Amino acid sequence: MQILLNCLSLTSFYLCFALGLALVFGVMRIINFAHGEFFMIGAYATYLCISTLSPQVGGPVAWAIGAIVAAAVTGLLGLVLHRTMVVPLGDKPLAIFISTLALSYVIQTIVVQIFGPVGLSIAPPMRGVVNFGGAILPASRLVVIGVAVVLAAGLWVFLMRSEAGRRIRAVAQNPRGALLQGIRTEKVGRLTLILGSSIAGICGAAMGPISQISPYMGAGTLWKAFIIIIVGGIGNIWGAVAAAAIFGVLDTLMSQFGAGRFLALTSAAVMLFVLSVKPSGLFGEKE
Amino acid sequence: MSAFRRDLMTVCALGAALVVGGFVGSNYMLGVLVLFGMTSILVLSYRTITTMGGWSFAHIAIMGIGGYSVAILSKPPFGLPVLVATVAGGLFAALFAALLSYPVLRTRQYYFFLSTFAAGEALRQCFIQFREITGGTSGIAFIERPEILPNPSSTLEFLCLVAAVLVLLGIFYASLDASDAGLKIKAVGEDEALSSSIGIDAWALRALAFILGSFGAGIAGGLFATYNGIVSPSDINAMLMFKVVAACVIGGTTRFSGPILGLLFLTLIEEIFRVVPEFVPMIWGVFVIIAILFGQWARGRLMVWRAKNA
Repeated sequence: MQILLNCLSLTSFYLCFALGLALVFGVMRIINFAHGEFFMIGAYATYLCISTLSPQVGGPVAWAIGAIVAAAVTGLLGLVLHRTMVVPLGDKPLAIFISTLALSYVIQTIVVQIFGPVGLSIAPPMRGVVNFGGAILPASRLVVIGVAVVLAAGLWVFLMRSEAGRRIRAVAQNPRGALLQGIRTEKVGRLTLILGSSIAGICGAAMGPISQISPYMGAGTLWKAFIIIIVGGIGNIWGAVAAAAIFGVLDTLMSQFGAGRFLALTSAAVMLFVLSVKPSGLFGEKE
Repeated sequence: MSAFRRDLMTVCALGAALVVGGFVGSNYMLGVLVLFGMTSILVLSYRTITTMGGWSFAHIAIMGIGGYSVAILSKPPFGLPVLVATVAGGLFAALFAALLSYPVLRTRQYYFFLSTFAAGEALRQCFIQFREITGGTSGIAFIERPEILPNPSSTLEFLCLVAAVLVLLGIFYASLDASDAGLKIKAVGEDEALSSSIGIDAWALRALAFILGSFGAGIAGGLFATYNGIVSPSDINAMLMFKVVAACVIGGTTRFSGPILGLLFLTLIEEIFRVVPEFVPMIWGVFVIIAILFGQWARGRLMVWRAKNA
């Protein structure tokens, strides 16, 4: 039971982190390397909100405000990114990849200058542990699971049921066809990038209280998200969900049975194996 | 002057400049020049990979293979001479690239960046985790300088060695570039479908560029290891990868002079802002963004200008 909960907890984190990246990648075929830094900024925004507000309004409320602020800030960054880089560089995925890589260094340096290079810890807004049939789970991890479920479900409803979501899916399937149908692809791209970045910010808000926050926290997790996207399949957000679950379970089991040191090797091996057998990923369609 | 000769001139001029600079410069300058020479090998080998149309992000991790090979092979029980171990390190790096090329080269564009980035990071994690072989986070220390140098502790002599290796590898890469295979690799990089349609084996040529480029990275890694006397996972940092990519972005990859000039520019920034090293990544990043955005804007203006004056 404990293992099951740990699996769930890790899967939620991977899902949270990879969801925004997979959304942007799936719809616009661009990789935002600064995604990890947006995640980090979300965590720092939450840190600021909690440390200033929690004496007045209490931990959970301050955390909720922090999450909203984090989403707003990173959403704004996504808007700026779209305006300054994605639109001018339109059809050059490599140029966008490298310029967002450069942007990630700019953001990292700025954050180091403001908050210092040393990690900080956020006072957890939810204290205590929850019991599930003999297994225990810290309440703040429960928050991550909740956030991941809400984000994934919310994104599903948004994409499948709303008008804007339908437009996003149309652009993801065929940008040219969508354009011919009178969809403003640039607007859809903007919305997607804002959405994806906000998800990164909220994920940062959820993860901040669990792990230490540091200016390099995003960069350290990014490669795992890349592997998840590759294994999940090109342009398939739900493939990313499945891949997050695969790695959540796999990694938990491996650490449980004392094979934690082989984690990176196994993840890479799984990725390379999937690429060898099915280059478009487990759930991807052939381009 | 043909492109081949121009590339040869670039490499030889750089090698000569390194040696001359070493003789006249101060001790500090000597250190900078050695680093510059070794990083030049990295960017030149990286350029070879980019000619096939894919920008790998595993180059520095593959460099690490060369470094660790030298560290392990030059010590007992192997005890190989350092230079032999360095060449072996290059070959190991090439071998690893050959193994990696099967899955990774099946991907294109964004997928290629992602998979090479993830593979490189995983390799770095392996260097950290397999303590028995690699010494974990502290790495392997006490690596000797090459024995063939008359005075191994002299940085100047090491600089001459680096310059010699740089020129040799430069000639090798320039010949590759000018050869039939090199031209085909470029054709594949331009348009893979079109190249395949006229009977070019695109896959084999892309793999060839990747493997030969990685060989240079392994050699550079070996030089780094023997120069520093230690190899550890912190050598394989994202900053160095970014520096190599940034040099190629800022300078362009058409000719050898591009990445070298780009690297020169980045190194100058690094030295100017030596007192505030924490700002260097940011300044590099800003210049890369400017180079990319300005290049895009300039190309657009040029097309408008040509259309008007056609």
